[in-house]
Amino acid sequence: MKNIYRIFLLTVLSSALTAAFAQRDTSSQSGPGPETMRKSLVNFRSALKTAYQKYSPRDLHSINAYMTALARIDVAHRFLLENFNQNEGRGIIKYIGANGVENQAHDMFEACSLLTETALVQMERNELDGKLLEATRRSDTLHNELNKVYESIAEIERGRASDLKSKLDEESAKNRELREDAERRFKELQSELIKVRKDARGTIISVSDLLFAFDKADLVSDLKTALAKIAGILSVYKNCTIVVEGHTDNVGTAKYNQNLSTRRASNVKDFLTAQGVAADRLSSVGYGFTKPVATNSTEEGRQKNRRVDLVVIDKK
Amino acid sequence: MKKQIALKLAAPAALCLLLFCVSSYRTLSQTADTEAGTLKSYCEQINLQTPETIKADSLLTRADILLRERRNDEGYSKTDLAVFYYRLALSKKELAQSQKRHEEMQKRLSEDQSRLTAYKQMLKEMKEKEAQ
Repeated sequence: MKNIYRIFLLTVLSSALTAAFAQRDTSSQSGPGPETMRKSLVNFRSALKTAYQKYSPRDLHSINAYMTALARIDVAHRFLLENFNQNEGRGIIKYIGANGVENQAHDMFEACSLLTETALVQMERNELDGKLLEATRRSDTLHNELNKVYESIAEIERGRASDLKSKLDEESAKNRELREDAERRFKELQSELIKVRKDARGTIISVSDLLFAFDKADLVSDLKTALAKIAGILSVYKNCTIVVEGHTDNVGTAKYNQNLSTRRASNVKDFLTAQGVAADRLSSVGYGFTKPVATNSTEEGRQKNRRVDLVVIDKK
Repeated sequence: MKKQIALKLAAPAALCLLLFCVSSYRTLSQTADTEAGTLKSYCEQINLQTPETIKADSLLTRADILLRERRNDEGYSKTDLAVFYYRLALSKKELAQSQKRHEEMQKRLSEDQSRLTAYKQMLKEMKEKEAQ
């Protein structure tokens, strides 16, 4: 809306100037005639007053420019009336003064048009600066609102994180409890058949080869109970994976022992699966006599080497 | 005796008064010239070249010629006009800067407003989820 208004003012100004310079009196050497200048000055004054009412400038520069332009217009107007002959009803038609007065009138008129335009521009700039100030305040308010919203979102996020942490802590405590319980129960299970120890990989449950018939991979039925107890513990304590490893002594060929250890490990794995331990937590591998835990030169050592190890690895 | 002394002093006093008036007149008239010169240098310094500054430059050149020809009234009148042209050019430049700042601020305001709306919506959804 203000832009339209500005365009209107500038149009008035420029049309006044164009008319002024276009309609020259025959008596003039150059520039607009006195009557045309007088009328244009009236238009300048009118444009300035309208703009002043519209913009209501508050800064000293705009007010000063406005007052200066008005004062110069009045002086120029008076100068024209005093120095040029007036023909009643037909305006100023003829210069009656000394040489050079006409040029002076043109300079004064040009100064008035420049001062008017400058005042209009400054008033508009002042108006824009006011708007800018208002927009800056609005921007500050918006930023404050945004900060409040950010803070509310952050608070909710913090609450969520706290809840999640509590749940994790709870779960962690439950897991620790289960692990301790499992370890305790494993210890209780310790016998000649089953030995429990810990190493870098995790808890290792070693099952003696007495669980198997001689030179066979099938489990002995009477001794399955002990293994079933292990399965019971493992099915409750789910936060772990189990690797079933088969081992033998060095009696016989490597190939034979490898095959035997693999089948025994596989059978134990199948038994555990049948007892309710999830298959995806179980894997089996046969090592033959490659990983002895004791010397193979004595019967006692060989007895220790013939075993199936359940390596219980805690999930991270 | 006193009358003679007074007469003797009157001539130098009148001469001094005349010199003072002439120098004052020159000082006053130089003001506009100096202002025009300052404005011209400033416009050159900020690299402002518009139809108004070009017109002002040519008016200053014309004013110099007129002043050299001792056509002081016309010369100072042209200097005055040059000052007004420089001022107009500078005012227009300031207006353009204000317009640019205003447009940028409006754009920023619009962006901030959109961001605020989006985040408010996000907050609302989060609160609804919390309530559930």
